[in-house]
Amino acid sequence: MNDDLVKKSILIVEDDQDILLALKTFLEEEGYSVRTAENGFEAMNLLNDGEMPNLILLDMKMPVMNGWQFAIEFLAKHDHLSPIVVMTAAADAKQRAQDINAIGWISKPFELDTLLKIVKKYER
Amino acid sequence: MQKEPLIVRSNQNSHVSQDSQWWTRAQFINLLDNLHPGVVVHGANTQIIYSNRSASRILGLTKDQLLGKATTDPRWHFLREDGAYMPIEEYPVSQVITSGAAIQNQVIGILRPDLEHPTWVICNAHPEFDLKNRVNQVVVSFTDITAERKLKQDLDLARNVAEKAVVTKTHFLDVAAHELKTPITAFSLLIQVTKKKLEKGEPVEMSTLIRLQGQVDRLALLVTELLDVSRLERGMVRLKLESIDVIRLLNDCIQELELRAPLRKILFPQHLDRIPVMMDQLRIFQVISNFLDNANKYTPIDRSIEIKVENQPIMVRIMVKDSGPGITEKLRNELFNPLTRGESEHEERTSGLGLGLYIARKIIELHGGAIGVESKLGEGSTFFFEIPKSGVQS
Repeated sequence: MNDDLVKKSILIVEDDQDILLALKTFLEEEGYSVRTAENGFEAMNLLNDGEMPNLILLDMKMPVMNGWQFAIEFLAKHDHLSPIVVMTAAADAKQRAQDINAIGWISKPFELDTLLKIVKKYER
Repeated sequence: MQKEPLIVRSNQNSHVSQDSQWWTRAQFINLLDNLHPGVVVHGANTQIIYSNRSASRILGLTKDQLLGKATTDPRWHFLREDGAYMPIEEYPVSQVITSGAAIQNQVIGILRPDLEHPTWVICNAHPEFDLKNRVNQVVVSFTDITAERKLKQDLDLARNVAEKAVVTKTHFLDVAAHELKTPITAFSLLIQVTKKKLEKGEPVEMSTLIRLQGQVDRLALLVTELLDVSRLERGMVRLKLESIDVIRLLNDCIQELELRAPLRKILFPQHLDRIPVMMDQLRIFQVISNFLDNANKYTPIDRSIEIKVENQPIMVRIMVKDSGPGITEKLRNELFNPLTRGESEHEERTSGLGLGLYIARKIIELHGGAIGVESKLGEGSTFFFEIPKSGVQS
């Protein structure tokens, strides 16, 4: 973090509440301001306030609105204003990231330190 | 006895006339008629000047009907090997007359006016020449391969089904691995966060332990489902049949649901008469619990779930009615097959393996019963099963 006064913000979209909690706890400890949504629909609603996060961590398999649907709506509405990193347990994580024009991916399960490196690499 | 000279005859065309002097015309006709392949000889104008008995059998026409018939007779239809209509210039006779060369082992379908399905033959044809080297006859022989072709198609079909099953199985393994990874990820992340806290001297919270326990329970449930399916599919599950009162079993299931969903209203009449049924108690409990879990999951919290029992002469029928969104007809047909959920990777919505109803179906089938669902969109669904009260008859 270059600027200690302005926290970088991250939006986590993930339907498993324990994963959500662990990631939020960790990233807040690392100095990020974190918003969470349990599906793509909630995430779209959150973004209606116009505050674009510096990074979106996106799970693919979610009820109501999954990662694919969210990515399509997000890109249509907000273009590439926030970079998206896909978090998936699928075998072909890279392919899935490319499918939705995401900037990066991380395969579940993962180390928190690996996640932090990826966040720092792609955050805007 | 007559067959030996025939082998000698096959060496050279020039010997035919010589050899044939040893034979009477009647013997020749008899020999040709007894050949298994059909033989038809066309004149230069493509009209048939000779046909044997097998030709009549394969083509479905008498010798009289065949003689004088042209190969381009519009009542005959030939098909290419792929089943498309064959243009006249591709007919064996036309090809031989045009090219002056023989045709070997061409597969042709023949549409007979009297048969719905084509007769398939493998066809050979060669020209005979006059003294001026012009084609004056075309000799066509053909063997009926309809049965072989049908067998090959059946085998191809069976192979496709088997290949599709392998793909489904592989896809299922992908989904299963994916599903197992989610609780593993949650577990691993919670442990990592807790470790970091401990390193800073912060205490481990009870809520974290409860969350960890929940993820392990979820993993255990997934593994149990996988093992169940594997054992059921391999026929390794043996029922332990005993006489059980269905009413008491239903009350047990309801009590168990009330523990997990205390706010849920469940409608089930009290003080019903006992209905003893021969069953594997644990397995039927598993099926009813699955019905109740699904009903609980898909019914809004302010609506009730209704349970009904029908005591029929031979069978007993259990029904669980929910007030959920209802199920489309397409999905109803697939619901009791494995992997109904998450079938398409872009349609992934709910977690879980989607194996519960498949396992339920297998258990009910083992009991000699039937399972199903009635549903109207917007009006909820009724899942039911029925099993024989006196136990499965083997």
